[in-house]
Amino acid sequence: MRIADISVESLLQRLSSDGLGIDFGAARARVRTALPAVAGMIQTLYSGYTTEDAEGMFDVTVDLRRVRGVRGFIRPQCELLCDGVPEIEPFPLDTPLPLREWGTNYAIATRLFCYLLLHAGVVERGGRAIVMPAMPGSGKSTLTAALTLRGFRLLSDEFGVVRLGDARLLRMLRPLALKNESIDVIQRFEPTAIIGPRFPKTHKGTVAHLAPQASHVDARHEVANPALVVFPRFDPSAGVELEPVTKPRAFARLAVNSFNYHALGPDAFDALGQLVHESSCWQLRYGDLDGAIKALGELLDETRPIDESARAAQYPQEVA
Amino acid sequence: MPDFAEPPGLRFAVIDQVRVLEFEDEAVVFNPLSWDAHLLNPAAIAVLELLLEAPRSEDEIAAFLTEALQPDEQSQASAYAQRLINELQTLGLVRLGESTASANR
Repeated sequence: MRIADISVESLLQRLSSDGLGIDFGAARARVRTALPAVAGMIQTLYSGYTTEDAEGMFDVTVDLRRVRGVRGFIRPQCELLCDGVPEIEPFPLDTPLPLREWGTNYAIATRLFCYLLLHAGVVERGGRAIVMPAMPGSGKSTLTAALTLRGFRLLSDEFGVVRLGDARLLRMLRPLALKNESIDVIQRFEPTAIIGPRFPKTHKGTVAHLAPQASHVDARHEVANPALVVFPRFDPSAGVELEPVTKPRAFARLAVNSFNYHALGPDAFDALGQLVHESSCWQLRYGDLDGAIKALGELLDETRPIDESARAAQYPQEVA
Repeated sequence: MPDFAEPPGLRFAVIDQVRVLEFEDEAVVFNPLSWDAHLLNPAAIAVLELLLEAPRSEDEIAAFLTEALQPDEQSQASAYAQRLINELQTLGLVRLGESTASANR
């Protein structure tokens, strides 16, 4: 049953008792909260997800609750417990969803060591992925959101999940966090896009979330092959400028950009090496969103798919 | 490849289990001790590969570089070899002594 088909009352009842299981693809989380407003937000942003058995296995259980004591009354706050532990600072009570989304990202980044996790937006078309690693403020989320509204399927807005051993990309399908001007940019770009409530007072400014499309959610267990690595940078003075990046430079930037490269050592080196080897690497400077989407689509079409039979042969071999 | 005579003195060797990923004229090298990855230029990777074959003395490395350098640069081969060895040692990829090194490429 999709979350969209459950009433807000039933959803709140689930959330406040055993919890609601959500399958993101590469990870699963159990969410519990008794905050009534959160149920409606989850129903909007997770409408395309199916409900999971809350008794199953989860990578993390997050409990979102009102802070007790004096902060329950004076400038009230909410806090997020990850597996029972308050690992991040509380947020104001009127920003529960940003806390839940960022907190869940944090929990995933600090727990999921079976994959190489890149800080990147990732989309795919025809099973061939574009990995877009970037620092905050680079326009990564805006570009990722726009691509998913123009025929590309979302793998993740936040995590490039690279499977160790074969460097295939897995999906970590979660609502896309849009910030400040990009909220209106995306709403104008696609008026039918489902964007949740705006939270104006977060430490990153105003934040709102774009709900992933149901068809993208349905594909959350499909893997994609790496095809392009694109380092995006929004520049309002630019049109669309693409410059090639050498593979060693791309490797270095991706390694720095990873959440857990250093924790995985040789396995991460091999996986990242294979990802870069199979990808064409570019720097994108864009001010024109439609132009950037067109350019990336053409670049993906021009990039020759990797020969599946050659994958094993191209993987680093022991030579001595 | 020069025909090296039995070298006197110290030899430099690559540490064990170094991983090398070559892309065109650059390479990324994984240090199994620090888990750092390093970008190496063509000269550094050529010397690393030479040392992966067998430990070499500084003179042997200089002789190897002499063959690769342009005639007007060959007088700098010894200084160049010394600098490359120092840099590879600083990165922890090369050490003094015999080696049982193997590399994944």
